Amino acid sequence: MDWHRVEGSEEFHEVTAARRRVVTPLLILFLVWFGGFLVLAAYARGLMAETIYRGFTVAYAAALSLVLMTWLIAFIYIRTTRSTVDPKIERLDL
Amino acid sequence: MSFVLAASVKALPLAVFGLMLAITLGITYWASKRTSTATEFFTAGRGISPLQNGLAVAGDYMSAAAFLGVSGLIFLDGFDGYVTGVAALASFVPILLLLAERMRNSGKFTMADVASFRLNERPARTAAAIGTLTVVGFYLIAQMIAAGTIVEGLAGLKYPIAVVITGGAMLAYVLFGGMLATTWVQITKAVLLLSGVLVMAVWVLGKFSFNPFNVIDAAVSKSKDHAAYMAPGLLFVKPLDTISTGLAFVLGTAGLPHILIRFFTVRDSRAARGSVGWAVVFIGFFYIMAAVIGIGCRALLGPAAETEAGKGGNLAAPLLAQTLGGGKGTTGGDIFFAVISGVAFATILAVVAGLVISASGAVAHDIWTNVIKHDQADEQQEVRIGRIAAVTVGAIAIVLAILAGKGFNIQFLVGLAFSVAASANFPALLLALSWRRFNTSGALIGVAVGLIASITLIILSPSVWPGPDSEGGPFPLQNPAIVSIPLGFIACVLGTLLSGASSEERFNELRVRSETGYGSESAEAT
Repeated sequence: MDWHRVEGSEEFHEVTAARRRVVTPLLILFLVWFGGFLVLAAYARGLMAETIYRGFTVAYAAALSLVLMTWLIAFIYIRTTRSTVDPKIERLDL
Repeated sequence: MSFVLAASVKALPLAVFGLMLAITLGITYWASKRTSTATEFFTAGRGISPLQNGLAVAGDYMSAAAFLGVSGLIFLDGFDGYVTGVAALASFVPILLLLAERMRNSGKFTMADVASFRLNERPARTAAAIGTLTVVGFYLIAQMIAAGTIVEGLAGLKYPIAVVITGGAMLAYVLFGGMLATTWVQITKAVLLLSGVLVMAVWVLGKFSFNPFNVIDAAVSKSKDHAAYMAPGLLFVKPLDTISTGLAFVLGTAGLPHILIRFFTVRDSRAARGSVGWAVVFIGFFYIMAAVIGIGCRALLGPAAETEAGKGGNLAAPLLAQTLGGGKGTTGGDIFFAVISGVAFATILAVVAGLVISASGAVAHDIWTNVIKHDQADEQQEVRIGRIAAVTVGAIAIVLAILAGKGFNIQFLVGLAFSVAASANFPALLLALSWRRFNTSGALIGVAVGLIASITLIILSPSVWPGPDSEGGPFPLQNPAIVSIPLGFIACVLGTLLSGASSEERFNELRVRSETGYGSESAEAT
């Protein structure tokens, strides 16, 4: 197998480009969301200690939002790759 | 028999522990009939479904530290106890986006398969195997010490006996049932644990007329920190401690060998992707329940239980079960305490088995077959060495856990395992998969620096230096990740640039294989 040729081929680039189009925005979303959570938990403790409703704090809301974040990112990634990346891999002639 | 048992042996929890051992050994017997080839021993024949593997990944991840540790820390220190948990949950984003499919596509049995694929194989594989064994070793000893302490606290068995029973069961699963038994023990435990936390959380809410805000009110009123109980700052006093510990858990989990090898047990990269999807559903659910249980411990147990819950609050969740069931001495209380204790016991058993099989792969497949035998060993030999390695690693862990004793600072070992995983394993693995110029000397120097920086800085940190539980080490943070992760990455880059060697030829192959799954290891019909 001429890996160099395959790696440089147009079809292979379509695969990696399709994957990058879904990975990059999701990775940025993750870095901002999770990084934001850590920075707030470390440096904005006054804000995090604020009560939203009857003792339920911003801190817990932010932490629980990370559960939503992982669900959301996993859902989008799995759905998108199934329709954009997988067909391109199948079309590759290896 | 009395020399075996501590004074306060508890019959009911002991009976539930016995039942757990019987079920898991039954699974092992079933699996042993289906385990003979190396692919079966190390990867369950790659025949695990995405849902099953998702449960097993969740099981590997929901260790005793995640169940007993996180609920105990929330009980004692409020919100900060939750940070390590959600950070480890968030690690499934980099695992899904960057690692899971590529691991399945380009690896065979171990993390080192992928990390050393394009590099000068023997040195790079040795380094990756050392990274694996270091993480697994520290984590395994920590889990064994926790197992001994918890089983002693729950069932009244003496600490060394508890360690030997746990270690013996762990070895039985791996030796006879390989990855298939380990996976099904893990799945069984995950289902039990998820059911257990659901029942506990609903029960807690039921005590407060199903209004979560009533639970919070009660918890705040029973905390000496009052409203601060629901806010950050009680456990991580320094802001940088929050960030450094969070980083160690988010990138460390992504470099844990026993979680990464789970992706070899499914048939292809799509199934690996699906496994992570299921895993985050279960782990996210688990963490919502864990918050209710942790805050519920504070609301229902109050300050009176702080001593009984032990160091780190590890026994808080079983004590909560006892209170929910009706309290100490009542039939309901005794039964629910025993059931939740049994679930905790199953949790420990499954996680240590996963750790041992990943160490066994690193010794047999990486060191023996590929480094010593130049890939000339036959499959049966590899399985035999794998079994010998499992017994050796298991025996060493049992002996060290007994020698260290139950007073040993486990946090030190867990911190070390996650820091090495994040600073040595994760950078080398990620760069090997994605950086065109990366080369062997980059990997060697990167792993060495990540490893040495983690160990040195943890020894110099407040929880270790100059003695156990002392304050004021030369390095101010509880976990070194914020320093050691960048050092690991920088060392990989500098090592690469200084040597000028190129691994581009094989990188093209790795890239095509890892992106497309071409030529990946196929599943065996079992």
